[in-house]
Amino acid sequence: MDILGSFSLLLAFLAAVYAIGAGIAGIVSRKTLLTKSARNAGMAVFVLVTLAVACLEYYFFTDNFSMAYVAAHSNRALPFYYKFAALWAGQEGSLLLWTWLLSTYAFFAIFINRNKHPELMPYVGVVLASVQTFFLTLNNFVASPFAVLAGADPSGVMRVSALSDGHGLNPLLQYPEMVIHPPMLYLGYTGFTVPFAFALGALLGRYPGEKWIHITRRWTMIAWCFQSVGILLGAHWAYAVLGWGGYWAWDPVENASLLPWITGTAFLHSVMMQEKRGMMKVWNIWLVFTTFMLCILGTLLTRSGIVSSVHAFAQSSIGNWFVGFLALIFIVCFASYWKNRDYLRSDNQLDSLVSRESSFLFNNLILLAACFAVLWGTLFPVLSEWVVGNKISVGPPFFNKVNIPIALFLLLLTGVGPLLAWRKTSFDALKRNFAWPLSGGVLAGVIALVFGFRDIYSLICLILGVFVTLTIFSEFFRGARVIAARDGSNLISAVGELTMRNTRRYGGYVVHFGMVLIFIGIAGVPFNKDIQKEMSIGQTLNIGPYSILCQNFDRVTNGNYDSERATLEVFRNGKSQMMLYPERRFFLASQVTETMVAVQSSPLRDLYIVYAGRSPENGRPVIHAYLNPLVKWIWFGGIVVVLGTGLALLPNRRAALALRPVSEQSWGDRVPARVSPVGVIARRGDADD
Amino acid sequence: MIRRHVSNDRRSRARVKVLLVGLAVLSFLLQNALLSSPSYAQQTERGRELGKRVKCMCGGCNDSATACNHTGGSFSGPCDTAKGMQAEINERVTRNESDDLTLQAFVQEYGPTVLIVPPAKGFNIAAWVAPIVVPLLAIILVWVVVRRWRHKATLATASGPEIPAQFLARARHETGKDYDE
Repeated sequence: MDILGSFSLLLAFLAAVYAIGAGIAGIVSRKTLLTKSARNAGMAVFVLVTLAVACLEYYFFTDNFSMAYVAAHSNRALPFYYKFAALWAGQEGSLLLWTWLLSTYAFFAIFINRNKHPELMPYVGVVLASVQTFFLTLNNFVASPFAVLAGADPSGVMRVSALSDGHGLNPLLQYPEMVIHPPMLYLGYTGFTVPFAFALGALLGRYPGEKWIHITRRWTMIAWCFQSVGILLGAHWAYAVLGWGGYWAWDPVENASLLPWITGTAFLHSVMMQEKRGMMKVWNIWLVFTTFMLCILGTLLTRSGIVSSVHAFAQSSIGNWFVGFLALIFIVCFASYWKNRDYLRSDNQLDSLVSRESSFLFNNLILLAACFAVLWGTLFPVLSEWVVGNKISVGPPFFNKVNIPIALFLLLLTGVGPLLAWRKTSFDALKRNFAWPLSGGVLAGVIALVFGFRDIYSLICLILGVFVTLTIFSEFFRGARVIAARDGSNLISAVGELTMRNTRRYGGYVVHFGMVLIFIGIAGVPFNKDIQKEMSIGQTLNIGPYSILCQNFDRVTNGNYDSERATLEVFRNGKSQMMLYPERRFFLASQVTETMVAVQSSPLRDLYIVYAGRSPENGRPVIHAYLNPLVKWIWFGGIVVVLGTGLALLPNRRAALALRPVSEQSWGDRVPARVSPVGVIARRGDADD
Repeated sequence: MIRRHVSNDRRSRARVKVLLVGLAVLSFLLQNALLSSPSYAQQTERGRELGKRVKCMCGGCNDSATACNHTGGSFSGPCDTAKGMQAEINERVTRNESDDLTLQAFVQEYGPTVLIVPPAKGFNIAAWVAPIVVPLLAIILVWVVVRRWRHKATLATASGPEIPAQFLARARHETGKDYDE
């Protein structure tokens, strides 16, 4: 059992290498047997890596402290669910998790398409196997999770040795979100490999049409959804565990997770241009390439120690491997593009600057501007050190100053885009479509000003939030009204019918609404308050409408940690509202102390209490209280984004009329008077926008 | 008369001495109380804002001097380094030194890395300019490309039979949207 894990990893490496060789040979010689063999080898990689992961988990659950990785990241008293999560607590295990998730995606991408696209899939298989080979090289030869502890016996012979207990899991990771946050984020990072493989495969094989776009759309949405969930879970973890009252610090590793998400978002929008109008083919293919490269750059930043981050793994030479891989990907992508650039010629041109196409174009530009600003700020300290020899800091104020205007402009486009028609929109239509949403936004702004809302960015965010929400609701309302009038159904069921007929479009609107909620939540930041106070039993701390009475301090202990806990009673208007128990835990194995924040969350505000510990000056307990408005909107917005993405992934329910054979009659003759022309026009083409 | 004058003089001297000693004790107590408080520099809004512009230089966190909050430490609040920096800021604020002078003093002590954002000087100007200039150039480039496209473009007629104007008008009326304009 002890060598099964490392042996299966080695076999997986060999299978991946074989998949590349056999795949290329199959493409060149056009021998089906070879391509099938390569495909089977590609799927075998998943089985073998799964076996390796199962072995490592087994070592964790059986407290096998002869394994260096297990000894470094677990201990006997660790709860079983954290033993499970300890797999990705360190460099070696997290790389194995990456490989496993990548092989899972590769397996399903190959399996689902095993009898489809015979001209495309061999290329896709080779690209997927090449990426897997890189990560398996790291797993086997650079950062193996199966290294054993060894020590010399009295006769000087090296033997496997085992610790009586492990060093324990990093206390920061002993939190429920950390069990699911890294796999979610990695599912996002690795998921973008599938669209990359299809894009590169289509380019290399000059696969005709926009089929690769159709195939990868769902894969991209799944990866994007996981990336979104991973980012939000990470933000929630930072909020609930780190005890600094915030959820986003523009840390390089946080930024690294945001970069591919931004370009992925851009791709999900611009891909519609290619599907609908055959435009932006070069742009789309480079967006996919860039998204994948940013995923690799993200893991390079996390693991190399190039930039200082509180999240980063220890500095190691593994960064050189990622630099090399990144360079290789760029060369391959550029060479493939250059050789096949004529394949990417646009079928159509832009007809008007006031059109859905141009709104997508601007949306993409602004998203890329945001991506560039984040990347630039993240890497500028390194650049400055190279150029002028001074290491400088680029902290949150820089990112806020640069990105807030960009983000607000994007929010504006989120509202404007859906109201524009494809090809060209007339001025009358603009007036008609924008009047109500714009009026609603302005009215909300005036009301906010009257109620003393003075922060300019938050005010603009609120106005735009209301504007975008009204545009979304008007889209649902207009469509549903037509269906309700035609079918005689009520408006609610008509909304359901409308949504299910074009899940992608209306799911997209739900995602937009979720983003509005997230923006509104972020707009609450300027109104945060905090107060720190030394408190004895019986003393009170006042913040906002709350009065917090300190009732007790006590100690709780278990095998994993000792905890010092404050018992606080929260009053509002003299009435007792709730009890809160912020604690500080001292983890015995790692000898590290961590805070456990107590949060009372409501849609209006979070009361966020940190027991900061005992004052170094006089030993008295210190309570740090924060009042953070609207934070709950962010988490709720995240849930709406996931639901919207889920909706967009569902297949469309086809309208019965669309299935009728098309006759050569004129439009007017073909449609009965009682049938709404809107439904027919919407069904003329694929209204999948 | 002279005796009374001397006695008054002694009393006033004694009062001055008591006052001075009292002031000294008070200032000592005040100084101690202020310096021992973890939120010393945060008493003034200006001190708090300045503290947000410099990084805590303890090497164990990436926080500002005002927001220093040591996760994993024995106390989740400002560390000794941050408290020292807060105290220095407060001292300079009390002396009514300008923001620039205060920040310059920190740069001299710790180097440019102490500033939480790069100053807009020398090469660091690029940090601020690039995120504005590069997207602007991209927008101009796209604008030029789009204009060239539009000049070249000839409107393709939609495939399929013509849609009667009456029918299209009814569609527009029902949706409020130009589907095919």
